[in-house]
Amino acid sequence: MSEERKSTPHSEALHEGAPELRRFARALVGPVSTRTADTLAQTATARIAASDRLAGDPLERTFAEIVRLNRRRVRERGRASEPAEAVGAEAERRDVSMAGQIAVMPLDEREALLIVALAGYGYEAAGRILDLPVSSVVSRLMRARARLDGAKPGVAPRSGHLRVVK
Amino acid sequence: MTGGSRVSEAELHAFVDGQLSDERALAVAVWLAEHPRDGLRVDGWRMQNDAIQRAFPAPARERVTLAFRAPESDAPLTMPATPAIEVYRARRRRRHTLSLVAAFAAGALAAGAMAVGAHRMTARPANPEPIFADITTASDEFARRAVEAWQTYARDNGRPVEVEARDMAALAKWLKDRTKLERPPAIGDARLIGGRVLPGHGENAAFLLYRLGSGDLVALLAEPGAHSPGAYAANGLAARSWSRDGFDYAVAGAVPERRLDSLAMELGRPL
Repeated sequence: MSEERKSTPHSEALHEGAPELRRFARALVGPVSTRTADTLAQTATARIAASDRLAGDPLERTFAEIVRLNRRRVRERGRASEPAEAVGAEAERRDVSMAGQIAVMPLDEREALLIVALAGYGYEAAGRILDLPVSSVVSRLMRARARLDGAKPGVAPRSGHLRVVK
Repeated sequence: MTGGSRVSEAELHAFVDGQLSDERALAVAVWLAEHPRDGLRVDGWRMQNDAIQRAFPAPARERVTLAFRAPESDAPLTMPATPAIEVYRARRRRRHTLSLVAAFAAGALAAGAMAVGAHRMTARPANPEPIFADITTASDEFARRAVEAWQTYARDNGRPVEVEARDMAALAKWLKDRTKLERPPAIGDARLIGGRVLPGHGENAAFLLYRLGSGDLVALLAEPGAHSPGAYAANGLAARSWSRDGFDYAVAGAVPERRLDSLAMELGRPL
């Protein structure tokens, strides 16, 4: 089996994308679970590298595998809505604020926000990675941004006027 | 005075994320120049994006740990810049460039927005429809085509299909020859009535008509492709589209959208 893994065409490309994958996984899992996030990224990378399926961008498929593995992890632990622990106080204040707000977001909104705003994917690719219609990606992204807007001191949440795109 | 056109909330987000065509991005820039409150919101989302980038530093700058080394791989622990990641970064750079271009356009247009608006109003008739509908993707477009096909053929009481399913072997062979579809998919409680061949994008599309246990007719459109999941709904008709094994599929009908979702799942749309 190890010989097969070595010879797959995806291995090299995935090693090249590893920092981006780990960064995404860390943001998705939350600030206190770096080890878990790295394990997710590693497992996803190994699975896609071992896959003999040639269709699609292997890096994109690995992002999708991270999302899938994390959803399963959250489901199995029954922690879908449980806020992550507070971010370390020694971190930079502004980043603490953003990382902390994202960590306590509902998972569906966090996924959409991070795959677009952090990983830099377009809506079509985000739809493939999150296994959602593009309209759902956009509506989740809109909710996530409204949540961040509402978290600013003195700015009221404005979920009321958001139009959910079906 | 404004251009008389409304930009949707979704399009403001798409503008921030560089997801609009250049033409549409420019038109949104005009809108923003005329609507400073929306401009402030767009600026706020851009700042959010920047803050998110700063909040999660790239591990590339960190020492790669042995634990992360992929199992059974001889790849080096260091990760030099290579084509795949360069493509990825180039995409991000392009988004950034587009964003700068759009910001420049917004700034430049702020000064002449009234003149531009006046020109737009006088150069051509005002369009009573919004210039931007909700974002339409290729996947949603495929779902829309399925709805249109259903409208045309499922309502044809005389000849809804070209080849009936009574001769399944002939139908399957004909569809495979004309559309490359291996065989008509089975739907649990539905009966396949037959099929048609329709024009597609590059390849022919297969149109299959089923009667559900409820008596409703649903259409399945299939053509070679690999789009992400999409959806479309209008006038009591709806469709869901997805891709599987090199084919795009869309199921359409005048049935509740929840029913379409379950049909799509049954036919292979991933969970």
